[in-house]
Amino acid sequence: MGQATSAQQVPRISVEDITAFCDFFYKKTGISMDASRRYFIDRRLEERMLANECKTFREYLSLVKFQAGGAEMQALINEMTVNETYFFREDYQFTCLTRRMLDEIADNKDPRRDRIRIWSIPCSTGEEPYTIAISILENWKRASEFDIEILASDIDTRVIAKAQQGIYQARALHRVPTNIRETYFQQIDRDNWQVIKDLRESIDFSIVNVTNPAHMARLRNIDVIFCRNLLIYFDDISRRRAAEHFFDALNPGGFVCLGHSESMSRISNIFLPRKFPEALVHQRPMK
Amino acid sequence: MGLLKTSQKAQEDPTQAAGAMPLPELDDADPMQRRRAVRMRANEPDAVAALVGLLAREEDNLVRQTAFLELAALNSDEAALGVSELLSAADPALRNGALEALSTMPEHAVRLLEPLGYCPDPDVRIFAVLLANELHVESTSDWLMALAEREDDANVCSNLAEALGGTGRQDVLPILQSIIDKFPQEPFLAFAAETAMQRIREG
Repeated sequence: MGQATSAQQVPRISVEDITAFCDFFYKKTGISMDASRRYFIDRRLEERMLANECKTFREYLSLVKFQAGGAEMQALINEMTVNETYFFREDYQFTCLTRRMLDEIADNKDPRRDRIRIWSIPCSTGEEPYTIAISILENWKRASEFDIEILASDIDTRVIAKAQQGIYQARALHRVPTNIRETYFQQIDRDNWQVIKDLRESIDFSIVNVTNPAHMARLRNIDVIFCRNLLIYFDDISRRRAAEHFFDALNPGGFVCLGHSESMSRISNIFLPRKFPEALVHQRPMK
Repeated sequence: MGLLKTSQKAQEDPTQAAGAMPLPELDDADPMQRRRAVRMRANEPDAVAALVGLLAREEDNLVRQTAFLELAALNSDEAALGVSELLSAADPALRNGALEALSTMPEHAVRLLEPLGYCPDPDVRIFAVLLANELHVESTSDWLMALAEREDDANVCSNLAEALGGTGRQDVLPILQSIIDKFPQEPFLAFAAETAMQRIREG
């Protein structure tokens, strides 16, 4: 196990420690880490060990495993996940949403009784769910006929807090047209823009681990899931589990949108591929 | 109408409305209930026998996928052995599902190659060869060579030729030649073995 040095120095982490950690982290989150990310993992583990004044890796791992309330486990998840994104990223899928998917979903619903529910996972700092909301308001003609819920979840508590604040800098907004920026954002100082209150209040943010059956059991009656660039971090079994959870979360006929480099057909055959002019998406069969 | 505010939906969230559901059974008429039952049974001591038994009679793809997933997640010698029994099923989709599940538990599946290679059913031996190819375990090339030396079924040898071609080992060349010699009346086998030999020579 890791050797303590002095109180001021970074505790050393051995190859065995990393292997044990990767195994533990995978079981908890479904996220598979390998030696190619050794530097990334080391740095973050060292930071957490120092923050908790743990002198050995074993001491730190015990804290993570057995701490009441699981605060350190959550802090570790926050450190280990990557959250870089921006508004209107891979926007062909949002075009597909408002030109094709929503009409198909709406045709099978009664607007007096049924809602349309869209879920963004992982939502990171909120760029994706806000983009979905803006796309619907701007581009889907039937938006006013239905009650539409947008749910947004992430495993990282820190990014959820940022998403709820809805404050962004130029880098995240570089693909937002000026008229959209002026309609849905408010400049709060020289470098920062905040999503308007009405829109912020329209997104239901929550903490969800997609490999946790208890978390996923809370999510039902969804019509469209955006899950982009998450499953690439999972191993085969976790990917298939996530696909099964998505299937259960969706209404019959509901859609899953994955990232451009991801393929559901390589994960599971329980969804039907739907090739729209704008995008290939994956549909839960109607029956 | 339009985007719902989070405050508006709190009182009538359909995700919170589901009441307690009865415990599902593996023989329930509803496939969705059978899926639930599969997940619940996966944690029980007799899970492998129960899930393999279910797979042998189950026709719904969704239930099958869930059962294979749970067996693969068990990742044990017992699970691998149970799944391997399905390699001789009449239904090709079931055999393929078994192959896929086995390939996700390489350290347990690799131990089954030896007995599978002696199965009297040539179709099972073909699946064993395909499995060896999927496992990405170094020792499987020795097993492929040993099987090729004694195998006398042309279809199995055809699959062996392709798998041996993927090993990159120079010492499989005489074995590939012996496959050609063993079946002088089967030109497709000569083609498969020569293609494999060329692949190895070209590195």
